[in-house]
Amino acid sequence: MASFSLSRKASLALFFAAMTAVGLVTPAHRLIGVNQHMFLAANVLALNFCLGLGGQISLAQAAFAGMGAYASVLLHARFPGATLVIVPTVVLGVGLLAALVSRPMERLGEGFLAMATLCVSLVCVNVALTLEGVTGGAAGLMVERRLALPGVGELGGDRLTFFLFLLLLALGSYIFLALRDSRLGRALAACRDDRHAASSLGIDRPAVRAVSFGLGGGLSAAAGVVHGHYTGFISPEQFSLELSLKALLFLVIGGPGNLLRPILAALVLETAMGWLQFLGEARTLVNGLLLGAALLAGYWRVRR
Amino acid sequence: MAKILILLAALLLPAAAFAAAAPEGDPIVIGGLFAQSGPAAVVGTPSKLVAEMTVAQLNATGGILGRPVKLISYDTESSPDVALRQARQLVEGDKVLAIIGPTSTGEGLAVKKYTEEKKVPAIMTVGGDAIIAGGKFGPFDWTFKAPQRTATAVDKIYEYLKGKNISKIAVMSSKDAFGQDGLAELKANAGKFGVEILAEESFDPKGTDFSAQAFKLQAAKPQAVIVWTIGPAGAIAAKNFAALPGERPLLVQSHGQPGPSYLELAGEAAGGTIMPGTKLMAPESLPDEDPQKIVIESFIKAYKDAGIQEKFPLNTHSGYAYDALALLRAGLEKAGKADPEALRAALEKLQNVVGVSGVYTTSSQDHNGLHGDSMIMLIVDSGRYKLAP
Repeated sequence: MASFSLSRKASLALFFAAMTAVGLVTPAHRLIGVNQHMFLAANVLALNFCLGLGGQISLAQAAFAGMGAYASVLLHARFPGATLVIVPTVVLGVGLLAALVSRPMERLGEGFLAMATLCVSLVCVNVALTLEGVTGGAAGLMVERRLALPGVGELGGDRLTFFLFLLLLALGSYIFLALRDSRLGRALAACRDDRHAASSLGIDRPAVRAVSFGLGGGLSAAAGVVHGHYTGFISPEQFSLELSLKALLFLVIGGPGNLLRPILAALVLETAMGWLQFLGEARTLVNGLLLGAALLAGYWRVRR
Repeated sequence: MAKILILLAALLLPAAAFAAAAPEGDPIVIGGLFAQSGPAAVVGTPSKLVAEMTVAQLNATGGILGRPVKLISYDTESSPDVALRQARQLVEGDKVLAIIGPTSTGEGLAVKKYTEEKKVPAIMTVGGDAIIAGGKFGPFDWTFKAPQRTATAVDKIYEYLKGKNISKIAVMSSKDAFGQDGLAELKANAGKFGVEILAEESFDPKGTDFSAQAFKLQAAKPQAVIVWTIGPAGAIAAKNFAALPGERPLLVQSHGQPGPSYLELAGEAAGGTIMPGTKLMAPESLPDEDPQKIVIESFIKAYKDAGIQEKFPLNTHSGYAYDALALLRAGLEKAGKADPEALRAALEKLQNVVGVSGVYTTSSQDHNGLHGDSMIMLIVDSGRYKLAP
């Protein structure tokens, strides 16, 4: 047990050291690609709270990220410079909303829960499209304000954003590990493995799952906040179902419940697929083969 | 082949052309952003091929300012995020002088924010007007747009309807940037032409059946229905309207539809529908004195010779990349040097640059430069596009 926990710590330290090196060495205009993959990785980690810990398949991660981005951008336009108040409010607000939404959805069976979260995603996109006066509708919204801290100044630029994402991943990882080994984490694991047994043990299933769902929603929202201000332009298509599905894909490749593997899968495979541009028309095919191979490798690893 | 090159040389160089010397010196590096995968790939992939074909023509006829032109292009995957990433690679990594593309309006807005800050001229081939609208979409000093504005197409449709004494219409628009843009312009300009919009409906552009919307609109008894969307949804709407019982309204499509895929997908239902399009769609209808006629004819010939026609049959969007490069060339020649600021200033003062999509005359307020006379109204008649009577 001791050796296992040591290797886990070592691999975590290695991962964050490697990422720090990447962040320091990569030229700025290349870093934007890495940052976009980090945004995806943060969403993969967020989904890991729901699926990995709680066993809930959620397709609403993009919706929560979008809520975070839109809320923060709109609030910053109103109250520039109030980052210190806005960001925690938005993250907590979206997290709370996710937890609240999760409770009634938890009454549905496993398959239907995925459907319900899919609906949350579609509803959010439609709300953004319909409230044209506020959100800019389908055309999107130009982001004029950056995140800013008093005394530090504006939090923009590629490198700073990279380290914001890395901080977010580190924070998320810490909470994930702490939660997984806690009493609450065991309760979540029990719900995931046998819901009836968990209920008969006196675990309030909707309540514990609301916690993991809420944490996932909050983390997605935080990633959305950073991403929205960084890109400088937000539109509903950036937070569409595709993002949720990608997060789910990479989580399944890496194995739900694992901390680092899904994040690494997202970062490495996305980067690799970005590099395959020179293949031209064959690229889509190669991308498919790559993802298929990754899925098989994940399956084979679990089987063994 | 030699004949074509000579013909192209005659076209691409001004009338008092100097002999086409082989271009020499450092190449002028141009960045290209095209959606070669994802939903916008149907427009983006042929755009890239056209851009490559046009650059080859340019280099065969002396390049620009006597220097060869080099095009570096990347796939934007139809995503604003990827488009921005590739734009930064072009500007900061490849050090391009100017950018042509991207393909979709969302990509254009994401790229524009960056190119405006970095002061890089961008001639975009996107459908939406937002990139050069100013206001909440930010300044557009460095951004230009090759395809016609939505408002130009709307004016063209309303003019045509007015000529046919049609004043009561209904509108069906897709729930994406292109559809909402069209809806806003249709509403804003209706009063000017004495047109009354009796009903409006919206639909999901990825949907597969819009019968409910079609039925509701028919119930309002409009004389014509305008469908504003791009891609297969327009053909589906045409089929749904054709299937309606009773008296059917005249069906009008947007300027995003003209092309073989609409005919293929809508089949019989396409018959009799009308839509504004570029003159590329009916070259045989152009009078000889039209300055675009010779450009369009040689473009079509080159398009076929380059083998693009087989994979991507000509549609209304085919010429945009050519036009972007024609504008770039005219701008550089007016500026007299390959300098971003000089190029930007020149691009704002272009006069009568003849392209495939129209004759461009730009100003500091009008970064598109095309008007109603660059479009024609088309009608689908026995599986072909013809000039609408």
